[in-house]
Amino acid sequence: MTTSSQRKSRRGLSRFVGPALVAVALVTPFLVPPYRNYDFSIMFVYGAAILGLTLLTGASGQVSLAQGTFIGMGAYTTAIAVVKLGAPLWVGALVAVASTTVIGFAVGLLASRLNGLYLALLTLALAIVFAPVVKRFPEETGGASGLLIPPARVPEGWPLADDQLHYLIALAMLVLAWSLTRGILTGRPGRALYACQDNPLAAAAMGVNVPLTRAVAFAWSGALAGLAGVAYVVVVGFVSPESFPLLLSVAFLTGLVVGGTHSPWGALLGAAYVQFVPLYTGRISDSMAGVVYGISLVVVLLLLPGGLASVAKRLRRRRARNPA
Amino acid sequence: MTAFLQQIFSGVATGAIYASIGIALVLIFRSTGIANFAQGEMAMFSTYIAWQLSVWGIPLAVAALGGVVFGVALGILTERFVVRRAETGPHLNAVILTFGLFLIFNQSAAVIWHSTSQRFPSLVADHMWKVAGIHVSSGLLLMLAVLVVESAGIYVLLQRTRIGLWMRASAANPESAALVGIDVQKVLMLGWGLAGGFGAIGGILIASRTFLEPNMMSGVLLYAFAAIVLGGLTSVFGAVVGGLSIGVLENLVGTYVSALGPDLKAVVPLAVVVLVLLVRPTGLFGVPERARV
Repeated sequence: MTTSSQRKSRRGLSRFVGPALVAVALVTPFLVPPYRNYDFSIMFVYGAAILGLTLLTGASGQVSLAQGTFIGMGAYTTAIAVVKLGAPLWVGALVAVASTTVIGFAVGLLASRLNGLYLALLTLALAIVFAPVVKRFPEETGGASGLLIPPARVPEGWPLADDQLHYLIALAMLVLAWSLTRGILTGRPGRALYACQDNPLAAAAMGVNVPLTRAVAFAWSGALAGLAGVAYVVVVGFVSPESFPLLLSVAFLTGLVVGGTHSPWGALLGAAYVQFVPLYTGRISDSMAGVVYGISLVVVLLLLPGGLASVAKRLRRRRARNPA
Repeated sequence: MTAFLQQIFSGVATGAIYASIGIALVLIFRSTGIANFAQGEMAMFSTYIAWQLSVWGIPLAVAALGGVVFGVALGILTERFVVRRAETGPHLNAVILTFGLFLIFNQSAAVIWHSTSQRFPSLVADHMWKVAGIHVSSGLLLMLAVLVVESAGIYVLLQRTRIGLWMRASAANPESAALVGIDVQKVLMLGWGLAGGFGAIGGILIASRTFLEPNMMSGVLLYAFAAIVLGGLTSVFGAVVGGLSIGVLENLVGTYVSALGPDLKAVVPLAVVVLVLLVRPTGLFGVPERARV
């Protein structure tokens, strides 16, 4: 039996998990080689994108095959603002997030009238059309050869290398995305999202504007993908039409499901999974990672519906049932 | 005018491919309510099997048949060992599951056969006729012939045989079908098998017209989905009509709307889907959904 004081102490302990993780993440770039910093930075980018899916798919129950495409939109908007229009990076970032939010909202409005199949089709079409559209306007987008963005430089006199700076920027984006997601999920909007998924009729009867809520979920997820896109530009320094294929979006869905759809922790675990599997399977074949993603997606969906994030919860519950 | 007719005719031939994949999608959707996003990849994988068999020296006709048989088996196994376990859970899971299958088939094809495109041998001897100023190639005729045979076959199967009756009954009302002694699970399995076969036929047709490559189906899948949305999601006949219409429309837009051109014609299926949803959400031959609240 768990007494209330024990429960309180556990909750007290878990309050420190987040700050402790951030502390570890802040120290890491000074301990590992630059290429690892790059890997982690990409993981943060993926994390922000998958957090968007936690809201969109996990909470509001809408599937998107275009989350990678939304990163692409954010990244291209930033790149065009910086390279073609000469804007500072932060302005490009603001414009990028604003535009992916608006596009997300527009797609969401259209989608709110559709059931799951049509929505999936709509986003599939977006994912497929993205690369040809980018190539269609070579003046602005650099066409098939892409755009090279001058890397963010460390200000004079700071004890930082470029890769460490990029890492820290990406980390800041992720923390921002995380706080947004957590804030939404734990509050009233989160409950409205879950209500729309579980029982739209009951949600409507309780005064939730179902179509608007669904559209707003899309806007949030677009905003987070936009953030991820900005971080992508900072970290990679290059965008091309082929950087954001359909497979990337499906990989994000894999990360979401494998990590766990119902908690922001799941998105982080999923991002780590998506980023680090290819590093181990790459020796066999570049495409081996996709096979592993696919199999793990199917297996987790069928056998462990809560994903990796639910494992800790299950263990804790089991321990609570049979105290040692 | 001749050029215009020519474009329409080629469009019909491409549409035959969309119709083939569309029939596969409809067969699964109407019995399980699942939109199988892995359909195109299953078709691509079966096509690779056919190609591999022919590379090993097996006569092309037999190799193609082997690919189709493989497609049927793949559909049956997928239903039996993967999809069946997700049927009881939330519907969202079943859809995401098909993305998992998408990844598995797409990427294992890339692992096994690499991502370079292969030439798939022509299925019939190349020949060109000129009818009323329109060029008619043997390849295009073959596609139309296959589509006619497919449509007739599926019609006879569904409307004139006992198995077809079981399939229609299971799709219309699974509980009642089970109560009158139909093994609904087996029927679903059969539906997936048939879909795998139709998909394989579509895959082989498109590979023989263009090339063979692991990502060759992503666009086709979108067109096929647009076709069945236009046709009404549950109607096999609708899938055929929808497929042909989308094929023609795609070809005309690619040729005559220079702002879009061949690269951007992928917006065509998107526009069709949106338009259908706005004007006639049940498609041309669909039955409006009624829900009791």
